[in-house]
Amino acid sequence: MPDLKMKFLVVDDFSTMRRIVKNILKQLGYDNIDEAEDGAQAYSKLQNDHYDFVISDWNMPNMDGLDLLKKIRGDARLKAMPVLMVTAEAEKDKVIAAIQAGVNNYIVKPFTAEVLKEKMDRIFEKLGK
Amino acid sequence: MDGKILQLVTFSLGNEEYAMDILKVQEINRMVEITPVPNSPVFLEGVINLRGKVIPVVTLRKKFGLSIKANDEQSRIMILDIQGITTGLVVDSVSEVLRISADTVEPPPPMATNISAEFIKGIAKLEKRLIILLDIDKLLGRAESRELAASSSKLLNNG
Amino acid sequence: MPDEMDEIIAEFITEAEESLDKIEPLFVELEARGHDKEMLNDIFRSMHTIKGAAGFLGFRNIVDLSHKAENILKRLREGEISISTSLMDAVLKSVDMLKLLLRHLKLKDGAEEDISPVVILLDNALNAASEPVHAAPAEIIAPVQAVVPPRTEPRKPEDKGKAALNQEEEKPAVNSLPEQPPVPAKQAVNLPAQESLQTLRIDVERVDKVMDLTGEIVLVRNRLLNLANYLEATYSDDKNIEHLLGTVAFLDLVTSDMQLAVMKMRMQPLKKVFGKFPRLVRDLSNNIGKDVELVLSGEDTEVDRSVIEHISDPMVHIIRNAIDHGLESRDERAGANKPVRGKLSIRAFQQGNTIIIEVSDDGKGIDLEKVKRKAVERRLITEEEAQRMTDDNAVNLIFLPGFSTMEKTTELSGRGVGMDVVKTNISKLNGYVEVMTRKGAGSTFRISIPLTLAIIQALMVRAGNSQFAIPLAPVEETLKVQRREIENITGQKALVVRDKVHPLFEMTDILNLDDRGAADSRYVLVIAIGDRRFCIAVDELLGQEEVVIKTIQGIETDSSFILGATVTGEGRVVLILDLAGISRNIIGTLKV
Repeated sequence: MPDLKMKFLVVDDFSTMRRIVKNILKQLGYDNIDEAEDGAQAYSKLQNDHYDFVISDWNMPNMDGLDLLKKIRGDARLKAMPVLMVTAEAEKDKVIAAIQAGVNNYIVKPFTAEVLKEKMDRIFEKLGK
Repeated sequence: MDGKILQLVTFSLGNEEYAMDILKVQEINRMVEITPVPNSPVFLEGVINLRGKVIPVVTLRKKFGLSIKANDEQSRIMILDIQGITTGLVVDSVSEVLRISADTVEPPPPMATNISAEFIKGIAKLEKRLIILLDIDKLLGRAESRELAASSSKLLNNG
Repeated sequence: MPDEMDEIIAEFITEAEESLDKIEPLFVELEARGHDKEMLNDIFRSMHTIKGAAGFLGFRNIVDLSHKAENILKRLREGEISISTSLMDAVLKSVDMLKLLLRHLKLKDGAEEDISPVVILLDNALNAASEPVHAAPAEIIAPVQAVVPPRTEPRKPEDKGKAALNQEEEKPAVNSLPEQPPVPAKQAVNLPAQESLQTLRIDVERVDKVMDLTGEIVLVRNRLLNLANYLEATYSDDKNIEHLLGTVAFLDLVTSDMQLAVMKMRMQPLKKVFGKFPRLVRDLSNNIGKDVELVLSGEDTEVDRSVIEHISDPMVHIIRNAIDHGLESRDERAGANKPVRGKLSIRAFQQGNTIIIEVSDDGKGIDLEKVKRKAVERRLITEEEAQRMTDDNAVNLIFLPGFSTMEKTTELSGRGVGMDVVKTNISKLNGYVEVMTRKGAGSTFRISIPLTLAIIQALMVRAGNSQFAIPLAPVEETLKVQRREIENITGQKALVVRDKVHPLFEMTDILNLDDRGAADSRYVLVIAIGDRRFCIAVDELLGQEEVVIKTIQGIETDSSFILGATVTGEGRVVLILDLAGISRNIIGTLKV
């Protein structure tokens, strides 16, 4: 079972969104949450600190979610990091690109705590087996 | 004077001709791959995929204790509705759909065939043919499943 | 939580206003400069983000409006349409309207705005901008569209326009009433426990039909995955392969989501079953003059409706058993320095993909010596076996067919159903039951049932000439061993896995198959059912697959160790083995 102490990195340029995602994570019992404003900041945080799970928005200035994902997958130390991509309804073609880049799963805005939990469970399940 | 018309599907096993009520027969298929079920009674040939549904298939020859004959071009699986359960029945060949008058059907003689009289509804006498009308519900119905259950030898319960 | 919501909403308003303020001057610059992808991207992103956050908070008007604007911006960015004054006007109008909507939210004045004129303006502007493309001769435009499949955009504006008009007609009045936080916002941010007011009663058959169809899609998906992998190996240099793999992987994810969604439609809270226990416990305990306190928890845990249907009888049996045999009489309890009131706890919870239901009593526990003696008397095991048997194995004897610990049958438990039937019923749900017992302290019956009943992960194996599917969950590991590594201890095959001796069974023996594999290397599955471990040897491991369980009507499957069947991508029927049944049955024959 997922460890409630695991450390999350929530990446979004919009602080409201980060707050919403954090709030939902807290409802699920996760308290150890860090934030980053864009892909570049996220990547530098990932390199300097230990995280267990990344939830990233797609559209961000500086470095977008896909580039961040590619960076993570290309980094020997980070490549196994679970990454959940947050997308909007109309971006299914992007989802395909994200899958090809090795995203663990994606979630469509807006989502509920329940859906987030499902997606995370799915990821843990796949990683577990 | 019962002038009722019976609609029957006739089929054969060896030299004997049998028939059953057409309403019991959902379709007649050529042989498909049958997956055997372990630890099951011999007459249960196995299960087949009928458009996504998995249904049991019984071989009538084995059920009647007749010699076993390899399936060939003529072999058919009749898909039947036995008390709501779709069941396949393997026969040597399916002949025709027959309309006969109920008058021509006589009660089964006690020693007519090598099958128990309780599964026979009657014998239809046509010009040169004798057709055995099977009571398919009795043959493959509930009693059958009880037999299957009993074979499991697991129902030993003490109160 | 309401404070938290207010805070989030306040933050959203501030941030959204900032974003809009930031992009406004960009429009003017854009108009002057013409197409600037970077700048368009910035504007698009802001609009997109506002839409996303508003969606969480349930601000429909803001979502609708920013969606329209976003759509135009996206097409501008991709160069599909070009910048025009009317287009800019429309987008700027939408920015104004968004600001107005945000202001109402901020002031909590409850005022509503009719966004439809702006929506129409946006639609018209987009249509006008798309016009030249549409006006071009069909012969030219059609093939272009055909070659670029992902770009389905050109058709969208009209559809969206229609949708917007429809919304207008049934315009909801809830939009921005600030006093009470909007309803959808609560749904989006709070936990799912809150019941939605919008419910729909649907015939179970229809749901099952959808479930069946989903199952079929899962099969098609599996087949496609196989094909795609095959094609990848054969035509790796064709660049369409990459698209194919991506698309199939996407289908894979969507199918899993759909499965889950459909499955959820069938879920019901265990309350439906638990609800009748207080009465049952009261009646039973009164009847035999025992004092029993019932503690229920986890009634809200949701399970598949077939579990609701089939779990009741086994649970009633376990409860009867606990009250009848587990809990002591008042005097006995007093004598043992226990509270005179016996305690029966029933709790349910979800653990990963498993639903666990526990029935615990603080009674005297199961007398294992008595259990063994009984089993010998009933000739289920021999004297010798009884002596060598571990406690763990001994307690499981109660699940053997033909076992009953009762000295005299009382009205309660003597109804002709034994624990074996409990076990059988639970294994029909693809679950298993374990017992934990401590002398003097009580017993716990723990029922584990998979969350999904219709679809499971399975390991495809070959034994002899037959293929079987084995539910993956109880398979701890798979090993490849040589025949000589398998030991033979007084007639029982065994395998040492990490210093522990595990009994080993050939699949062909368990299933009485005629054809035997002669190969020297064996593939071994280490199975764990409850606390018990054993090995099954097969000839070949064919792979892991997600399979749809189909029940076989008309066959008594208990004795054949078959849980059901599944249909492969090729249309063949493969039987799914009932590991719990096998485990239950071989324990009696165990000599290790």
